[in-house]
Amino acid sequence: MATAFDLAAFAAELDVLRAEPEASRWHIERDNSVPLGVLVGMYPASAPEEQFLARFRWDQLTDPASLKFLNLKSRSDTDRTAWPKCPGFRPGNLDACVSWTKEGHALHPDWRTTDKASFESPPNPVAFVVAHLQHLLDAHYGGRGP
Amino acid sequence: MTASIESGAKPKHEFLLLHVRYLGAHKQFVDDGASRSETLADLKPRVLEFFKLTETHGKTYTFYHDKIALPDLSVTVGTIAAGDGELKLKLVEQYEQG
Repeated sequence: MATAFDLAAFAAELDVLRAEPEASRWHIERDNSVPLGVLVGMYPASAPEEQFLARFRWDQLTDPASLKFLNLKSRSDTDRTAWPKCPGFRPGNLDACVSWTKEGHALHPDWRTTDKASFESPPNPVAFVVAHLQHLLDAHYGGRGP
Repeated sequence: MTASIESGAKPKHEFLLLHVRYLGAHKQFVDDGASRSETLADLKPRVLEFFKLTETHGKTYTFYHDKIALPDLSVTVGTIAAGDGELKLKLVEQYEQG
């Protein structure tokens, strides 16, 4: 359960996100169905016509975020074609198996104890995950799933 | 008459304005007098120290320029910048993937 402090911290992190260098490329929307969630519309630099809607949710801001991609119209989170192909992303399984997501750590409990994969909470956790996703889309985009 | 370089001034062709962004960090590393002959190997410890990061056997960081990874640390910032007077790099942590 998010505390008033968590909610205030999250609101401050959204301000940081809106100040990111790429923010003009994003459509940022608070996910009001959960206390700590945000929807971000974004696209790869190499394919601006390919729009993706990423949904990030946190149990706590210090934990890895859950990442799902939503269908742009229905906002369903079970559409495999709503996912981009990026390293570690598995559109067929509707998850991103990387060490900065909740889903990655759920699949690999051993990651918590390894130096490379353990998650250290970044100073700005919301900007951190959105900027990393944008980096993947810009540098490693491999088309739309599945 | 040839203008002399004032004490402390740097010949512009030997230096550049360098920005390094660590993804998700609000503050950027900025050096307004970075030597064009500085290699990425020389630059990396300065940048890691600025962002309070430690590179270990398992946790590593890679520079990117224009979406292209720069794994060769022997390259100089001047080579990457070519003739430009400003260079913007990203520092990206290499994450585990399943």
